[in-house]
Amino acid sequence: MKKDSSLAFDVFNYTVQILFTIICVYPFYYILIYSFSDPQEALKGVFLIPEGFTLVNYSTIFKLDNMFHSFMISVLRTVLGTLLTIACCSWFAYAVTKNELYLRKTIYRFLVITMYFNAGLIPWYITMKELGLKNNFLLYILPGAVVAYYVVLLKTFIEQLPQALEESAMMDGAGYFKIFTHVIFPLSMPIVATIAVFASVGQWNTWYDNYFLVSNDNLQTLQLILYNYLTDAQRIVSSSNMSDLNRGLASKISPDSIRITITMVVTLPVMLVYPFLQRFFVKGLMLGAIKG
Amino acid sequence: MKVKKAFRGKALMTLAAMLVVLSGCSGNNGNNTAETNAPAASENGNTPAETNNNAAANDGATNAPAEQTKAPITFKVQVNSTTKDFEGTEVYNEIVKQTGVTMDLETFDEEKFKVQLAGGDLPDIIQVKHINTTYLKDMIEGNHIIPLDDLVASNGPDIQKPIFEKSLAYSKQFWSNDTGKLYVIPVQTGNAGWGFDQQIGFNVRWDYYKELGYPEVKSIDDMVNILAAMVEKHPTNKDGKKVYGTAIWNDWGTWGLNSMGLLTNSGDPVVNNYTDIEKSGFWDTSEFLYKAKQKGILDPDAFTAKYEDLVTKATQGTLLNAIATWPFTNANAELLKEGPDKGFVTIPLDWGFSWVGGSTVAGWGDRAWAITSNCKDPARAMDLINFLSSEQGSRLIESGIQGVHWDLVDGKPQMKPEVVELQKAGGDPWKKTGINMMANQQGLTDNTVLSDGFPVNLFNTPEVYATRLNTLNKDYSDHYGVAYPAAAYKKYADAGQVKTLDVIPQDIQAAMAAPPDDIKRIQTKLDDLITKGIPEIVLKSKNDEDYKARQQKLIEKLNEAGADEYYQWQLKAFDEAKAKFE
Amino acid sequence: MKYKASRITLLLMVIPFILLVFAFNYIPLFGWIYAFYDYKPGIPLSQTEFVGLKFFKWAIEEKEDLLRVLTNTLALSFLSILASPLSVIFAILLNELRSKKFQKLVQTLTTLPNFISWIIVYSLAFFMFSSGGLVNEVLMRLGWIDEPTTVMGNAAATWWFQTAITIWKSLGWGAIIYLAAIAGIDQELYDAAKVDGAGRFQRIMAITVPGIMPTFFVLLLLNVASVLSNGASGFEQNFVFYNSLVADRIEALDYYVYRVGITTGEISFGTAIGIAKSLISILLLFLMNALSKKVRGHSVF
Repeated sequence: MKKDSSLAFDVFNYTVQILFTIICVYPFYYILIYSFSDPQEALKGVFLIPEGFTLVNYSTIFKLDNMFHSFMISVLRTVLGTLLTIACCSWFAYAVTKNELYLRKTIYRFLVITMYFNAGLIPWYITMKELGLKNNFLLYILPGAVVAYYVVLLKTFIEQLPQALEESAMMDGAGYFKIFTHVIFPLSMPIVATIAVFASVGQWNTWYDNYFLVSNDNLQTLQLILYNYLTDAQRIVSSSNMSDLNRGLASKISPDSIRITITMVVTLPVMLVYPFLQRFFVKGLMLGAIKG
Repeated sequence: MKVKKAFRGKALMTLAAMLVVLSGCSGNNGNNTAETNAPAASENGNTPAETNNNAAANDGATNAPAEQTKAPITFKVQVNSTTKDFEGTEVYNEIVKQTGVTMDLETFDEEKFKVQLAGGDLPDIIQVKHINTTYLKDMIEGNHIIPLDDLVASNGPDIQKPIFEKSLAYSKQFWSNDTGKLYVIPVQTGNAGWGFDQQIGFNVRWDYYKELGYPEVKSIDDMVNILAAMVEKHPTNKDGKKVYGTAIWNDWGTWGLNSMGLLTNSGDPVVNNYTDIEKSGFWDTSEFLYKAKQKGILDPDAFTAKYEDLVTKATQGTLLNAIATWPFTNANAELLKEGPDKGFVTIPLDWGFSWVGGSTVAGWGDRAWAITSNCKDPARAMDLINFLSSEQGSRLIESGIQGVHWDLVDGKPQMKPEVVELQKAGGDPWKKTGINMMANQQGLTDNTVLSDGFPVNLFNTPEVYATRLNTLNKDYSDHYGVAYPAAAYKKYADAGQVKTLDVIPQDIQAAMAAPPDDIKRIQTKLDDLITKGIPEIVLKSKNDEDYKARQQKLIEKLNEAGADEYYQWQLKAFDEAKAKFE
Repeated sequence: MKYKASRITLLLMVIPFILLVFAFNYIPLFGWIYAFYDYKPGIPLSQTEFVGLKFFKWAIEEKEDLLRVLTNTLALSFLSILASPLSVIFAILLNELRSKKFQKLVQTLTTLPNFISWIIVYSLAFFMFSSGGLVNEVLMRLGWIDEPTTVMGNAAATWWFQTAITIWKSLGWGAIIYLAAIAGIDQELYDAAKVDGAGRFQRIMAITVPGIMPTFFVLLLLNVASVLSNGASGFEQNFVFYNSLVADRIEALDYYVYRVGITTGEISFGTAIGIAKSLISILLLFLMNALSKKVRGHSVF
């Protein structure tokens, strides 16, 4: 009897998963084939295969100025930024779980309420400028080092780890830092991996700090190069002058093709990183080992 | 970190387009002037320009002799609408050569501009967005831009010429925050003229129009009936998808809802666009769309579609009309392959308005040059602005380098045929020339006749137009008995049957004071009401009485929200500006 | 002695991070002062007119608009909160898949929508749902409908349509957190339950769900506190899907501020609304926290 209902459940589960996956994948597939389609043909409608197969969308992007260098910068900021974020957030989260921390509650609240205010673009700009982060690589990784949301996730996870482990380590005379590095952090791999995914995707996709604060050619990120390319194509459409419109709209720019190809170029590296991090989502493996 | 980006540009289309917009591609206006001046030019004995010669073909009197090479300098220049891919083109390089100034271009973006202004980090040279904003005033008060009077005297020989006199006086009077000093230098001043073809108008497929026997278009009703007839004859596209008669695009603020007004404009400088049913662009568009709906030809997405959605529909062949041919550009390229007379064109009307022509001293709005207080060498900055504004600079931007792209033939400047071919072909080789890529920065309009007797833009001559005609253009032009498409319209304008921007006092409009905050609030409210109100009326009215009743209701609401107050303020501001002109 | 010394050490070790948080989150708050002046960028505040609560009053004066906008914001936020358990359920279902390879594949693929920017989401939606779009074509050819549907212009369907899109975009991505939480559950608990004869469903309810609860609860609190900000998953979603037909149902607070701000004192007005939102959110947070203490016995923050 149990076996039957289990089977039914499995069938249901697999069906639901497959359906939802299709809903998620088809749109992405659509933009994949769109990116390989001729921009003019694509406007007529793309469905299952590329219309007028061409690599021109990609070749145009790869020919953009500064592509390789900006790619390296983006990779650098993603890797360094994510590592820094993980280190800072997880340590901070651990410290905040310790009841003996002076002003623990206040500190935690001090952190959490930052999720609810945002003074706006201009104050942000001025602050960053005054802190000396203009045209500075640190701009890319320092502001994102402590993210309240990640700390919350980490703290919640750490709080659920069995107390016994910490206590036994303390018995052995380990200080806070040692406990963190040898016990807490290894056990928190699943949530750390989660944050690594969020942080790295966030870092990879961020362009606005570059846009407003970094003009140095050597520090341009891939996202900004692509963003500039896209907005240039859209620029004509936003002109407020009729003569200008007559000039520009009559030409065959297709922002859609550009936008979509950029999405592909930007998403593919992320897709490569993700499976690499998936192996950390392993069920309580470490936990059992240590307990034993 | 919330950053509202990139889309704002589209939204800024709102009032700017209706109030202070110049239009019309430039064209060769003065057939007579050109001829009478030409002999003078060729007689005057200046040798045909060598490639490196500073002076354009001239009458020998006023152009400055070749400048000594000045020390190279790079400036950060923030430009309106021009993009960074202009750098490195042939025209760009020529500018560097002539002025010694290398421009590090940055395209204007309002969010970034505000941030730069707030942080005191404006680039060296900027183009000022002054329509419906207080930026000009703020920058003058905050000492972010410097007065240019002395600089023009020392480094602006071309700007000192008579052709700019009125523009500079205008700027000192209206664009100086009442200080009377010269802070900004207008661009694209002069006579706008006509272009090769009219892009805005009653758009239809030419072969369909032929099929119906070239019916007359005397009113909005005619437009709707013609479209209905076309839909009846061609109810589906190649793939069997349903075809609709018309739609508007909705992502340019209220532009789409106002679009029929471009054809039916009464020519009055100030109109109560919200409640004056007779003269309002909004209500004419509403009438058009309502009647289309009644005939069943209104696209169901008419009120949700964005500009690019219309391009998709047009390319798929499921849309037969929009207010301009722009969305149909791709479709036209395809259709031309199918037949010599297939494609979308605008039908010249012998009534109403044509959004072309006009002449201004204020130039194109939102693009006047200013030098910021961050600029380390204002004199050299003025060199650059001077060059771009000059006859030579304007000619360079629109026609290219003398000797390379155009040349003197029998003393008359003419585009080289291979360059004309290049323009027709388009693509990367054409882009490399850089011609026409800096139109938002040239001092004189395409159509302005220079001291050599020829226009700034040498492409805008009947000879060049003749080579641009494709089979569709030819068929169209022949039918109307003209040499190139826009002339079909020009006929009626010249005969006085159609009003153009010539009758609109654009300079006075550009001089109107910026509305105070409470007026702006009213305007936001009115825009909101009308944006939501008209679609509802168009879609829900069952018959003409119902339509009129709903229309009245909406007008009452608009009046309650302050429509009349807004209108009165506009009248007052216009009169005040007008008084200053006299 | 040792204990106290280490307490101080702990505090000292945390201080650098407190400073970071302060520098990047609290210092910019000086910008809140713009809400009380008729601020224009480029003009120093010393030369700007002080207007006190003018912009706050503005917001309240536009009662009709404000009410409508708040309704939309709250409705969309609540729908999205109601939908949040879906991520949990999805994570649990994923976890229950027998084939680990298939699980990993599905997990990766279902996060794809998260990477598609909103503008493209709009293009996709138009491709699917416009009058000439895929869905209508299929339905018409099947003969199920005569006239094309116009869901993107349908005001009544707006809240549901937008929520459906939000779910599509964030379900797979949001499940990541819960999968991590499940991974943190002690495997031995499952083994013990199996030995005790607990069935699959019982194991889920008794072990998996309670294991995820703390995480879910915390996130729930955070989301409720930010109920004024979400409104259709944020500004971008609101922006791309806004049109005159659905305007009255889709316009949320942030978009309203943007729209009004185009022509009027935008920075000051926007800042004023921002301050109000922040204060309300923080208030809500502490309220929910106190509630949680009463109901569940311990506070979260």
